[in-house]
Amino acid sequence: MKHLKPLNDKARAIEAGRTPEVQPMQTVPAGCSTVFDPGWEVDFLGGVASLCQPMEADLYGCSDPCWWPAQVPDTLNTYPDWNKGADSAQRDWRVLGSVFPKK
Amino acid sequence: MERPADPLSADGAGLCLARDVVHDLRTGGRRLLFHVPTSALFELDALAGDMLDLFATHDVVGPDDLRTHFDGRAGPAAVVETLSELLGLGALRAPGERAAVRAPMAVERFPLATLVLNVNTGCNLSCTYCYKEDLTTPAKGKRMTFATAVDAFELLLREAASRERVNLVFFGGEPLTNVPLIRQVVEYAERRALEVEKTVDFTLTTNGTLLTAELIAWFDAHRFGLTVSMDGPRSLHDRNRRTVGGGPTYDVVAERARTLLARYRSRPVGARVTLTAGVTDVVGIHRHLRDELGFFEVGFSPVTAGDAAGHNLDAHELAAVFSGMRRLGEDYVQGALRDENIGFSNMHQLLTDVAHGMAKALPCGAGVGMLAVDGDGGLNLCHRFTGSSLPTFGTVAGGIDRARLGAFLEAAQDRAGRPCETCRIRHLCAGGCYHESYARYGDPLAPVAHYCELLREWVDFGIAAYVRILEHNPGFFARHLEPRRAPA
Repeated sequence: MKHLKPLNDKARAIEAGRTPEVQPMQTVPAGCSTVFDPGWEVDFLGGVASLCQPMEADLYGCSDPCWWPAQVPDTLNTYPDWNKGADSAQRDWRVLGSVFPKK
Repeated sequence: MERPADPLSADGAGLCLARDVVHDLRTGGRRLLFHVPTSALFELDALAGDMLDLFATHDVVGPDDLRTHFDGRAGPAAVVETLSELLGLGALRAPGERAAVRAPMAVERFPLATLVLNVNTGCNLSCTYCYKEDLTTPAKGKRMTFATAVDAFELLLREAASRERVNLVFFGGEPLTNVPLIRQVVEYAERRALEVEKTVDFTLTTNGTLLTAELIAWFDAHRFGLTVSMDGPRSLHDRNRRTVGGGPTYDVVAERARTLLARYRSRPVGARVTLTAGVTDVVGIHRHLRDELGFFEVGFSPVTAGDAAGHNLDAHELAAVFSGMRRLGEDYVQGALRDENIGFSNMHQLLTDVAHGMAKALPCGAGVGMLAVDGDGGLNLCHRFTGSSLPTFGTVAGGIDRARLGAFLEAAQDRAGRPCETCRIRHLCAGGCYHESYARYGDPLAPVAHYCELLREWVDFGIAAYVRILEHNPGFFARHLEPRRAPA
């Protein structure tokens, strides 16, 4: 960690990825989480409404700071305007620009 | 596995501060984040502090808020980095999301390390504030038989099968009113421990009046850990610690304590002070017991919940006690900066918890690592409960009532619907002393609501003290905290 400096043993353990606490998932409705999760087949109500389906939701949801490797350009540094005017992937996907590496 | 929508994306709902996860502190110009679920302590840099402020003053923060706020103040990469570090700790989360709660763990095994033997319910003193429900005079007291003590030690050996060390504590009443039993038990326990290749430690808390030179030498030879109950200088000590006939005890206790401290070599000797109405001068009491009498360490127990209501500290006095604890705590810090341990148990324990980042599910080891045996061989949560009306959890002969004890410990971990649920020190205090709650509210699991706020301030004080010592003398913890945890 760069902006948070660990000061005690537990903080150092967390920084090193050693966290003894394993927490069950029952209180996490849906969403990216740092806790142990058994998979995203169903949401906490047993349905699929809160999951990442349909895939359109993944396009933005899984690309920006989230780690899932969605197939989109690097919108953070190189192509900040790639999705300009395409706020809803489901509705606006046709206007998304194409990006080719410049030689 | 697919990941859900990113809350900071254009149509995401934004993020908010997880106020039950983050405890934000400032001390000596530094910005700290105490992570409530794990007791991890972090120092924030300027950017992270700035970000926490932004979230603290807004219910929800979206990408535009971040852009506006940090534009010209920090680069996007650094902002995202800080954001993801805070997200990783669960310090920020989507609106409406709740923090993960640690579900109560089923307690099925009881790896005992310590057994307390109530060798006699009788005591030659009649301290006005004594919490023992079964207290009586020595002659009328219920004395434990050797057979019961043997059953108790055998139970300890069985339940502590996985441990190398076991600890036997002699308690009362006044344990020195039944020295013949103690000698018999020590002889038996040392022989049996040798046979099963374990080490046995002995501990004893006494009012000091019955100590003799011969007894002191014998304790020393068997490496007893000794604690003397003493309340400070004469004027304070004699207020409550009186003989059965009502006479003062300071002179005899002080004289015996001096003899003990001059001769005892095997272990440091501590004093245990009970703070009650009119006995609140923490600094003065510590000075007398540590500097004038020579105890290695002094620990304070505020009485807030005894039967004798006249002796309970009222709200005003309790505040005075905690302010005295902080003054003495400041002396502790000054000592630590000189690399000295001034012997203040409560502060020492608090710093140990903060340094390790102790996250407790239960307030103490009662019922898990420790049980107390009453004169009839009944198993109690701890020494304070022997002779109380709380039902016992089995017997030394019949074994631990695992179902009942397990159910109690599970209930103790469940904070749902209790004020502890959202308390920022819930994993350090974990609900407080069962017996204080039992004595005050009739329920061992009721939170000690009458001093929760003072405890929270005390923990904040401990965190600030820890950070100061860490900055100026970081080696103090390894030199003075760790050795106490190591086996003697």
